[in-house]
Amino acid sequence: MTPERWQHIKTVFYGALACPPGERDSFIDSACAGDDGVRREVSELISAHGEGGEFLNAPAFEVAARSLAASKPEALAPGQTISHYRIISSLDAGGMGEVYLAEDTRLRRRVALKLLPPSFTGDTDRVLRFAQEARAASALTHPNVCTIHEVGEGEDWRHYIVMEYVEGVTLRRHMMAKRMDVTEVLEVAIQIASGLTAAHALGVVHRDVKPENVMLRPDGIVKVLDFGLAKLTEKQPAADSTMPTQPRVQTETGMLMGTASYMSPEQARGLAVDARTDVWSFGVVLYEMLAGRTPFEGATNSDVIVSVLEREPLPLSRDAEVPAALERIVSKALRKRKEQRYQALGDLAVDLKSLKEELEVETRLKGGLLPSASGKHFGVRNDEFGAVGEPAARTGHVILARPTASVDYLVGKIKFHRTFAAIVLLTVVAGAIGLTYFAINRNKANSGARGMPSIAVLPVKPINVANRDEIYEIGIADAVINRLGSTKGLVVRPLNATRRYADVGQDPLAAGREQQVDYVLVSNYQLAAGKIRITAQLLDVRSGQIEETYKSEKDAGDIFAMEDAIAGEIGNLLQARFATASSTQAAKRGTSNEEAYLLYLQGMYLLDKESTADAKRAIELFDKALSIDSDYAKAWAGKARAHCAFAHWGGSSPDAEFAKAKPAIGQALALDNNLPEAYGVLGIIKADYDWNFAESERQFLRAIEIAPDSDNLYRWYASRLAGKGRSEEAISRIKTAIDLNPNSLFHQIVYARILYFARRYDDAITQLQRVIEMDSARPVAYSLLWRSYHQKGDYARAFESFMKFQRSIRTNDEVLKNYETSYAKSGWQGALLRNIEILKANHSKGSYAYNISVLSALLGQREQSLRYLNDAVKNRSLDISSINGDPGLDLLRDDPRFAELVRRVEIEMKPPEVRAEARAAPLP
Amino acid sequence: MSSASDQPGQITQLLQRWSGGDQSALDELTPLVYNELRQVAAAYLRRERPSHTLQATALVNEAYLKLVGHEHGRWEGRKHFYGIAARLMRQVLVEHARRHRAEKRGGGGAQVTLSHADEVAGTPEVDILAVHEALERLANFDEQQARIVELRFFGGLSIVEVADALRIGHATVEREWGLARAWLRKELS
Repeated sequence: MTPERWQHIKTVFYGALACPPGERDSFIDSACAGDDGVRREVSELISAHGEGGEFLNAPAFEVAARSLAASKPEALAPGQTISHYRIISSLDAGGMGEVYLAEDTRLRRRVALKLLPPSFTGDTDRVLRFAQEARAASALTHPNVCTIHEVGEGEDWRHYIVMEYVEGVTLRRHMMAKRMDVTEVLEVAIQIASGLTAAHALGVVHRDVKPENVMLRPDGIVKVLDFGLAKLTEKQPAADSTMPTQPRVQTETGMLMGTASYMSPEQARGLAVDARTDVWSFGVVLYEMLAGRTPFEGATNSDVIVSVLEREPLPLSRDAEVPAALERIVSKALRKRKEQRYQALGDLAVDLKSLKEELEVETRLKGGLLPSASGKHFGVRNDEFGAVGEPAARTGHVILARPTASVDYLVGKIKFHRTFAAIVLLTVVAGAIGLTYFAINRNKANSGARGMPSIAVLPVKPINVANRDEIYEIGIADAVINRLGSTKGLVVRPLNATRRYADVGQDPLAAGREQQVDYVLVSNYQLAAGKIRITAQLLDVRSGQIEETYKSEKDAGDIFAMEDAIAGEIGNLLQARFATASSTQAAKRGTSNEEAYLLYLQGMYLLDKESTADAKRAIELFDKALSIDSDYAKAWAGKARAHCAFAHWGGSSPDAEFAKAKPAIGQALALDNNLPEAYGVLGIIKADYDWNFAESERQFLRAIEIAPDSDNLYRWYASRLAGKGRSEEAISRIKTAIDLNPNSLFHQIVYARILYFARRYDDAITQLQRVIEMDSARPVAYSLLWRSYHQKGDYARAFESFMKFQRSIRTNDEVLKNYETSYAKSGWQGALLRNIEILKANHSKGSYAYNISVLSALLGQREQSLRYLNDAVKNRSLDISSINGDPGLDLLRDDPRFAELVRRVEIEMKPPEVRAEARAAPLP
Repeated sequence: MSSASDQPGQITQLLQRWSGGDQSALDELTPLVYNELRQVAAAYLRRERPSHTLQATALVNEAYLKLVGHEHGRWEGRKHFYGIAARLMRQVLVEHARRHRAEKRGGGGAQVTLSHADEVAGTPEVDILAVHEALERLANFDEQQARIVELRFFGGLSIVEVADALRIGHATVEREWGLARAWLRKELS
């Protein structure tokens, strides 16, 4: 087209447009004067002009907005910052956005920062739901779970996740590098299973278990990454969950080819998934580790999906020497119907562990040595809790500034700033996670456990299927479950476990076996003329015998009244049969209010974070939970712990906080006089604040009697025993805690502290080095380390550890410099003197009196040490509970004034009973 | 995330350098503008539910605000920038469309798209790349019309704004736009 020709076309075109439509053709004919090309062109333009519609009316930017928003921005460059994270380098860009190695400039630690793909910015709700789940997942700090520190939102609305930086290789790479033998497979698989089990216990389903999401650290610890992240990429399950929807493999989110290989059949169908989807995917990973290839293969993703849905994998024995038992485990994980699979990963983990033990015994019998991988690397695990401290280990901490978490939890911009921590009352924090485990363990209907019978209440089924109403079916079951839940001595399966047995045709005994319960409660209902007739039977799962029968007819009009009445009657009937002790109050053990429960979990999470701001926030959350459900005993106990924590971390005076902690514990016990953690917290209060060790010991023993499998209780107790100088008993108790939960780093740290208190300095140092190897960010470990070296007279190492300790509590550079100068000038003694000086300068209201006393004693300054120790007593320092055991005070032990002080503490210093305590239930 | 706040100033400076004939400014501009547009789009999608239509005018306005900043808040001050900003947006959007197309053809070939298919907007999508290429041909024989389309489609300007920016009458813009649109429609069909 030449401009001239176009000009001609334009002239004709505009002329034609100006004509009435009827005359256009003849106008064009005459205007073109035989030039057919121009004529055709104009005619076409006229007709295109006529049907213009919306063409090009939307600006290009709008057209491209969606794909632009979803497009990949330029990668972040080293040095760039997001919030307070400085990018160090790019790590592997995984399927879920780019991952960077970054420095948390506040905590001065390395983290992995994952930027979610921009496509998520359009769906805040989904991200918020994820963040909520991340919060639940991060409440779980498990050695085999990569801890999520924070979920945040950048200035351009891109969401980022900050998590623990795990050095190592992915399982994918590891498998590519070498073929794994059965022993190694078991080592890795058991750890993956532990991580998943712990997450499931908190209701977090991974949804995307695959070798890319498993990291192997050089020390042999295995970490599962990206919990719940896959949920972000899934569409909501179809309303009719029996209808297949689209598989969730997508391009937009960058899911790689191959992900389909790990999808469970229900996932591939787009159905709702639960923890059993992880059982499947784990089964696939297990298969792949053993066989060196995935069980369901295909040339394309669609082929893989068909294989997942329809084919059985080739037997493992074809590829490798796989024990038959292991083959059975894998095949039970890979049942197409989730009902036929392992119902819980925990069960699978148990099977793997016992298999591993069997194989080890076998190997030994054969005279062979244990395979190398099962040695030292896997003996100790890391709990990845935040840094924790112990009362006595607080000594020497200079807390110059405490950045607080800028957090606004409930409005949804969830940020988990693991605020730097001063040091903490280990005992108070310790239970945060432990109690959650504890609650879960108790609810687990393990029929053999401590002889408690267990029961599953199945949904009520209609006799006349044509006239059914789910509100009755689930509603009545729910009411009965809640009613029975408050019965002592009976383990009741929660509704979400039994809900799926609503089909009329399902065999109740099979359901009972699947749920591993002793009894099932089966009921039928009939609706007629505004009445509901209900029949319930208690069946013994083993014998199939009918043990109890209940019949009733109620007015169906007022549903809630009817449900409560039925639940009450059935509850009474069964309670009479099972209860060893019954409660008068409903729902003592927990709460039926979901919001309250969530607040409780958040509070427990914050207690793990070791800052006064978080402790304060935790108190608020517990208060809020209690304002929703004032009968929530666990929340009262949580509140009490939070107040103790707040005092221990120096947020407020011990007097103020313990005055609040005590009535809260009173409430907890009034609501549930069988709540072990409440007695445990009471033990802490009695020892640390009331200085009444005898009473404290009684509470701990009582708590342990109620819950002999709760590891935290043993640790709390052990720690106080050590404080009293009863190291041998303390060691035995802490070993029990470790046996019950070898994964807790808390336990390991307290063990080290007890060894220090036992004057076994070499053992303490060895133990501390193990702890530091597992987590190098534990101030308390360095604190104990320099003390141990000091006691051994190794002052060079003492100073080295002392500096590490100071850096770990983020002492500022100027002060650090001061220490170094002092050390250079006058040696270790100079550094300690400098430390005392600085503590004195920051010493207000007796806060560092105990620390100064210990440091003075270490320097041989008897008089100053005694003076400050008296000061600490006067100010009710919480550390006083350790004076009998603390090696730091050994200088004073032969001094009659010290003996007098100890006597005063034990006899005269008992505080007046706090008034509020009298209001609470009398403590037995 | 990246320091979005100080970029309008930087962008404005680069725009001035570019409009003054410094071609190297364009290399620096493109990623910045790309990022801004991406952010504006993301912010929009975040506020709007996916099923709703976007408020195109507001969307474009926000983009300009990001690109030329507040100091040119009045039209008189801004219109100079509209011309070059529209060209820049064209540049960026075309670049993006190219990249997008390459991804569709190439690397992504092994992947499947199933569940997001329904998220494509109901109206047939305009192929930005095709418009751009056709516009380059149009410019060979009718530069003004190509300019009008650029301002209107890539710049998102109204008829009045286009007229103002090009210092021609509204009626002319309307007429020329009508023909250009008909021609493009024909070219693209």
